[in-house]
Amino acid sequence: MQCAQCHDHPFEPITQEDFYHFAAFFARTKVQPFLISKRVSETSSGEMHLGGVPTGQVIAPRFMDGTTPSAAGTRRQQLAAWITHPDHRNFSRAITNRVWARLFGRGLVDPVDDLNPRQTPNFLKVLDRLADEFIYSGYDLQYLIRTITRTRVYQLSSQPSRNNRGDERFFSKARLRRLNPEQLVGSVAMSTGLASSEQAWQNPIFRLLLQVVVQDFTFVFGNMDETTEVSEFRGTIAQALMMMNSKHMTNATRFHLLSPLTQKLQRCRSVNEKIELLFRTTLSRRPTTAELRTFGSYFRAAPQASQQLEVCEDLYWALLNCNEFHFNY
Amino acid sequence: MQPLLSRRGYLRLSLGATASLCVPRWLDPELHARESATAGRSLILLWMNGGPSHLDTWDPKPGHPHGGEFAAIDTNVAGIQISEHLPQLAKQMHHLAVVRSMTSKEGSHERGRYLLQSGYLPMPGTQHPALGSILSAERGQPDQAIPNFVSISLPSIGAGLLGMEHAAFHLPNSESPPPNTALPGHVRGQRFQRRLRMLSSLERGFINTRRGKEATAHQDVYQQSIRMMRAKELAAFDVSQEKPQVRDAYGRTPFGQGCLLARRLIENGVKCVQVSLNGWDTHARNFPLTRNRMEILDPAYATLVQELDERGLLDSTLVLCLGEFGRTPKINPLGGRDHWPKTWSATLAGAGIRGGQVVGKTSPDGTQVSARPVSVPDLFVTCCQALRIDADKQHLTPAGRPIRTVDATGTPVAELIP
Repeated sequence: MQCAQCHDHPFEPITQEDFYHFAAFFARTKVQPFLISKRVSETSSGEMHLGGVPTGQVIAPRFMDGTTPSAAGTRRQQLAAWITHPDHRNFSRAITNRVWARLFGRGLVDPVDDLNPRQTPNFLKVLDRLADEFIYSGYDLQYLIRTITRTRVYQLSSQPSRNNRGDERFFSKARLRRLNPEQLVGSVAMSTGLASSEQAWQNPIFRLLLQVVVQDFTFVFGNMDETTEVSEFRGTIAQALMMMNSKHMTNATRFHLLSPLTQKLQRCRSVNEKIELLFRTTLSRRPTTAELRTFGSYFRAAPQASQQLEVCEDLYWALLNCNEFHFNY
Repeated sequence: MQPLLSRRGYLRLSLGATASLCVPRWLDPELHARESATAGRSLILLWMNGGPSHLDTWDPKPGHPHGGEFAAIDTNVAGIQISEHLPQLAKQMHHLAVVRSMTSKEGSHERGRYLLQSGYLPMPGTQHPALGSILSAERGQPDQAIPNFVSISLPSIGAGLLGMEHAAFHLPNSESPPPNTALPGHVRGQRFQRRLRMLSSLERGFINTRRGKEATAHQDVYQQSIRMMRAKELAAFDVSQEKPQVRDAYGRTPFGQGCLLARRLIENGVKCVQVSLNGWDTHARNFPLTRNRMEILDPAYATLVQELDERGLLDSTLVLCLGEFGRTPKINPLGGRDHWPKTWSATLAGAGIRGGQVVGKTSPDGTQVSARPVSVPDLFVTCCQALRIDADKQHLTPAGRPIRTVDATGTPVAELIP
């Protein structure tokens, strides 16, 4: 659709006029700052001009299927009614595909916005089946996510078998997905124990503080808008330096007496329990026997209590910086 | 079955194939010789944030009511005059080319910044890379211990479709070490060693569970980062290692020290350094504010050009100085000047640019280009020529749209590169 803002679409039957017919639904939309957020309203006048310039010819609202709005309501209400009409499958398909892409790192239709009839028919069958469920549930996103995550294909391992090593697109194994800045900051906050309760996430002050950190991270990690494919998002030196040495990470990896993680560590009765606690809070899994042996040796080389706390801090730092923590796999 | 290649994938592949089919670069002896001889070209962008008033700096109009308060002075090139508040630059004029006929249509700061750092107007669905990011991608050393593109004081616009690894490494302050390269105080040498050993075990463990190339790529980036923390080239970021007289010559301002740092970084293999001087947005009190900016710019820019020349680096380093746009020739009731993209000036030096000349001309009142208009793509194509990068190369957006390094409308300004 974006292509048609400046010229007719090069491959699809979408003309520049189509774009502005569609844009006309938003010609009367006003977005105004409201408290810390924004408020959207609609005025009673205002027209869309071809090319988006006032000298262009006035373009009336028209739906993508060529019909014109007849129902009552504001332009945006008319558009919303048309888009979500059960006969118009593309809305439920698009949402379903985007949710799928979020969970799998690649849509059933890929790129996610390329819903066209030439897509793999078998995948389209899956997409339509899920989209039907989504409509049936009353457009319940939680229901959709629950359904997808319960499928066998979602629960597949990212480890390849002998036969599917090269597969990037048939969902025969899970693909590694790098956490985005929000997910990364959220995961670090969760692992410290500060944010592990439902109440913490609902606390506006906590969320605001976290937002500050997220902004610092987003600046270094780059804004990933919806056109950024997860697979194209690679790590950079500035990001690694931020994870290793920034003040946020230094604060997070110091075990002050009051931090929930320190208190839990002090309740551990053995070295193995400490290692297990640190693994579970960061990687959500138990350490293997080999890992217990490897990391246990660091504790045995530093027997005093203060030294042991330092070893814990170092292991925690390493866990937060390792590849396994940075990927959803 | 889905066809093995999607339409966008096909486009991507076919463009790549076309590029590589027209004589592999290493088979073209002339191109190869030229490339290896000039592999070291680099760029320093002096970014005048806010948009400097061209009539008060490089394009004086003494005697005209639009000319304002400042006098014009002679330079060391006969017939070229610039503002009286750029006396040191007047003595470097033999190195400088002033384009007085720059013209664009973008009068907003944000869009103007995007235009003058990338060469393109903002376009939905596409993120154009900064010129420095292009240079980093085309000519940067991937295995260099320090970044190929550094932006001092303000951040650069980003690397867009080239990917984050070509984005400028941002250094907010020219006199502090690069962010996050120093270990926190409590992690002394031994402890950091222990952390790295632990990290290495964890990374290897995950890689051994056969998770694919991204798990290994993660380890590579960490190794590069640790190499940067330990690199002796990191000393290049420390301007305090320079003699006090040298630091004084650049001016003891963040911008002056930033220009000195730019010289040090270029000497150490950095391909592009952007140094920003903020505060040119003089809607009110234009004259005292602009004069103050020029007093900061003059010693820094002049000393930079002079030192690059003395050290034999000017032949391989393009120094480009510009902002988003010019400012209204007519002085407003607040004694200010507003945004004016229709006419403005850019200056270039080094990398084969013929210095000691003025290109183009504005009308006596400064409002119109009266000779030799130069568009932003014209300027960018010329810069690409000076930097020896291919302005016609096609890059693909995530949506599969081909984008040239510089917009196809650009034609080189022949006067600048003989």
